Amino acid sequence: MIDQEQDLIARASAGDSDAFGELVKPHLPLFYHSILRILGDPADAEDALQEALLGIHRDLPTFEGRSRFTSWAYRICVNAALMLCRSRARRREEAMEARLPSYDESGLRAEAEANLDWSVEAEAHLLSEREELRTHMLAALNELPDSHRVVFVLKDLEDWDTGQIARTLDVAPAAVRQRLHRARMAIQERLRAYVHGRRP
Amino acid sequence: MKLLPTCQEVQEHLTDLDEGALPLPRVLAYRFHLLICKACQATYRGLRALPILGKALLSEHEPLPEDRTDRIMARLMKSLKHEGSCHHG
Repeated sequence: MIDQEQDLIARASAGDSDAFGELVKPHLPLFYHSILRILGDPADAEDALQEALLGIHRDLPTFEGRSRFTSWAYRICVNAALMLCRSRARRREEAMEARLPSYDESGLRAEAEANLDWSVEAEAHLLSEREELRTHMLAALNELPDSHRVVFVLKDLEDWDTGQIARTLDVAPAAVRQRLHRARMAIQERLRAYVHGRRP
Repeated sequence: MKLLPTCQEVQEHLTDLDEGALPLPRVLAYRFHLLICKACQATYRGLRALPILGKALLSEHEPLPEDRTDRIMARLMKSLKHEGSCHHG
């Protein structure tokens, strides 16, 4: 398998387009879904994936094989998604406020069900109503402004550390933490509402 | 800072707490609050469950529909052939 991959890399580096196609095709789901999680929009994800694939093709002769091909190419895909995210019209950040919990004057949550633990029930839904829960998770992600969704995806789904995200996005670590927290709270509100059977 | 933080104050800083970004007196105050407050415990557990749920639900290994794979590959091959002809022309 590895030998076959190395052979494809060598042929693709030498300009064989068909070998390049054969090399990347098995990894398209991984590349596409990692981009889609960042961008949230399937059409944008396909555009970013095209840019990424052309970037992989261009840089393939410099690939030295120190890491696995998929890890190396995956990073190019994530960077292509971040580039597209920066260049497209930003979603308004004000919309974020409406998705965060509200508190009364004494700093308590107004709604009684906000105090219930939803995460155990969500794990049960994971077994029985996975698709529906997935739809709500995707919707919650897509409702976030780009600046917040990117941080949540990189931190909680891709396991980047806060410093790495701050450097990549060129923001302070405190800003990363704040965006991450607001994103998590907004997603939690949406999932809590679904799990507790209320319309979000 | 008040001696006993409110739920709002605690819930707004749970990520900072997890990331070790708070000074010790606030860590102690928030941890004490979490010990005695079921609402904040639920919120904290919920936040910590999100990466696990997210990874389980939004797996990178979901298959791609065949028509999407075909479209992506066709577009790629077209671009590569175009690039190739530009370099040789």
